[in-house]
Amino acid sequence: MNDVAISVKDLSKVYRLYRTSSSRILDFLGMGEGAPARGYDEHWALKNLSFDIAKGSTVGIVGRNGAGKSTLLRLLAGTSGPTSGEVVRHGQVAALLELGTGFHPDLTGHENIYASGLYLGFDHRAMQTFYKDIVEFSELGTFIHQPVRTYSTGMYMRLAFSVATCLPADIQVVDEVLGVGDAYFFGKCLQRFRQFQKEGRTTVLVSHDNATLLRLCSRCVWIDHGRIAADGSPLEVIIAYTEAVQAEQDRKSRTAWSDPGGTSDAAFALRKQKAVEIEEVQFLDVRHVPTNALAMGDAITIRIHCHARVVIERAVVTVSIFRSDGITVCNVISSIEDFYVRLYEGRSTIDVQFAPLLLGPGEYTVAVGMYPSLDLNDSVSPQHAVIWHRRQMFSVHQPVGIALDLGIVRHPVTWAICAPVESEERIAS
Amino acid sequence: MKCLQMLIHHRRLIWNLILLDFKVRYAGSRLGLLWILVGPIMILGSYLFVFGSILRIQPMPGLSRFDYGLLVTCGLLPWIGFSEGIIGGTNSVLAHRNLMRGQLFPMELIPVTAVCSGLVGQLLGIALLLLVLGVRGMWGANLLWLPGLVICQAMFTVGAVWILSCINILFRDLSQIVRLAMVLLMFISPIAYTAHMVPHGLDLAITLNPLSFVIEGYRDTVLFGRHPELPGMALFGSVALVLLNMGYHYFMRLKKLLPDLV
Repeated sequence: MNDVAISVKDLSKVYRLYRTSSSRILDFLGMGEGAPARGYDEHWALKNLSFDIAKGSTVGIVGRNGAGKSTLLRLLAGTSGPTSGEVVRHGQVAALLELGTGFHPDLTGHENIYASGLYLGFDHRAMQTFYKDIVEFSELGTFIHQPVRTYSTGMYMRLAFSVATCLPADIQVVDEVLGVGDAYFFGKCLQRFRQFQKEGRTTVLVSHDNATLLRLCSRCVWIDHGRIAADGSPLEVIIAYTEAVQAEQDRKSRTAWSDPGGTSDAAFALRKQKAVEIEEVQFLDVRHVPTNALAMGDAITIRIHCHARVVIERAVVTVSIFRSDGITVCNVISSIEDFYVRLYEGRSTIDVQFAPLLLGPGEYTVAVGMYPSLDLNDSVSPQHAVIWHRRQMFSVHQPVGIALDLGIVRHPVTWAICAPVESEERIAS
Repeated sequence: MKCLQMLIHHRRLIWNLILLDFKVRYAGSRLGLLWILVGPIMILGSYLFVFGSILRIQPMPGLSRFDYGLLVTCGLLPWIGFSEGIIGGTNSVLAHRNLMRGQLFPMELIPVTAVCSGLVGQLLGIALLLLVLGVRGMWGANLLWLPGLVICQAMFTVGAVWILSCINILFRDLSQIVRLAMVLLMFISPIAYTAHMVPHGLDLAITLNPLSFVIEGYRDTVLFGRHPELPGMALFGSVALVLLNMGYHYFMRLKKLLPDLV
């Protein structure tokens, strides 16, 4: 049991939705029970959840709005009690559920730091040891002595995040608070979480940003309608989740019937009938031998085996390459190169050659998409016929003899030496 | 006595919360703490003006104007602390509801803090009163009863507020009702008059009013230089203790449900 940080057994949470406020009061006073007609409906936010969270792990939780993610976090943190079942926590829990809730607008940032400390169980003396760290991390500078009502939203959130994460804890429960600042602060937050991982802190994290989850988490849990829909490696769970969301959108668009006979409808029909299937994707080296390991600068061919039951005259093929931390490294679209595939009934094979491969060292996964037509100007709702995305990786290693980090991309460049420019001339111009 | 243990255990946190409460309340105001005294002194002034100078109430023969002033002060001080504590305390949990959602915090301390903050005005008033008594040479051993009276009153208020603040979350009209009840209490408590002046048939209002024990106790110790009536004190003290415990258990039982209700 020593390596378990949080143990959840048969956890359920029921919210009572009262029809009238008086039935709420009656129930509250213990007089609603046993009445012939109950004054409330039951909403099972979570139903019979059981899982363990290992010490030092970072677990991401995904799911639609209202699936029960926030309820689960509240129960894990202990700010709300379960209806049945139990949560056992081994260690001190810090809850980052709503940032800056204890802040008083009229007090200065400085005073609010100590006030929040009080609410979190740290007295003045204890807070003094963390104070410098908090102010430094928030980068508020002299604003720290201004009332927080004068802060911008970003400054307010930065201070709140700093306070919440500078205090010691064994387990952190974090609800969608990572997107609080600009890109720079976001980077700092990620770094902080990495540092927590090194220190062995356990983190449970809800986010709608899949890339963040892929970057940080060692495990993902997908909650749907109060139950665990999937639990496993981040990539697998997130793929399953996004596919389910896509399927849901399909069902919605069919009922909405917004665009009868249009392209989205055609694509939807294709998806529905599974008219196009991608059976296999292979990674081939220069000699067309399947491989999973390449060196930077090698050539790679991605071979797509697909099977169609209809004829598509001008299908567009896309290949996206993701690094293992979720970054989309590149996204090649055949129509940009003015290449269209004529799909026949039966099997066809399509090759995409990346030669030379410019990607830096790392592990990569690939997603392949096929579209009956693709509007390059519409980033919102490209309508695919099929998308293939599996946890099938290829890795790229450094060229022999180079140990220095070469970055994500080895960009083709040309070097040249220019004639030196006189300094006087520069001043004159 | 679990709740007394809890209060003693958290005494420093409660003290810090009171300080924070005042900091928040008077942030940016120039007079700051002085405002606590302005209100009560105004009420005292109007009482003396209306009942002392215009209506010329004579609770007992041979009472000087100064003694009548003391008599009213003895009535007003507990009322101020009590009503501030009850009104503030009833609202306190609702006002601090965000503490329940985002983090782990011993919510039972919030009503306690509100009551203690409400007592500050009363305590400052008592300090001023003692100063005046000292100048007049009226100090005596009986004044040592005052802390006991304050503590009993505080226990009573905290117990009541633990219950009221919970109910207020579900039944938000309660805070308005409490506000009106406190105004009513100001008139039915023996502040401008004494308990003996209340005619038979109406004296139930005095007997049932917990504040009248406290007020009469203040008068005994400050004005008449004798100890408070012991049976009444014992009764009030035990009622306060019982209410404190009841309130604590009620609050702790509902505490688990509260985050889902606010």
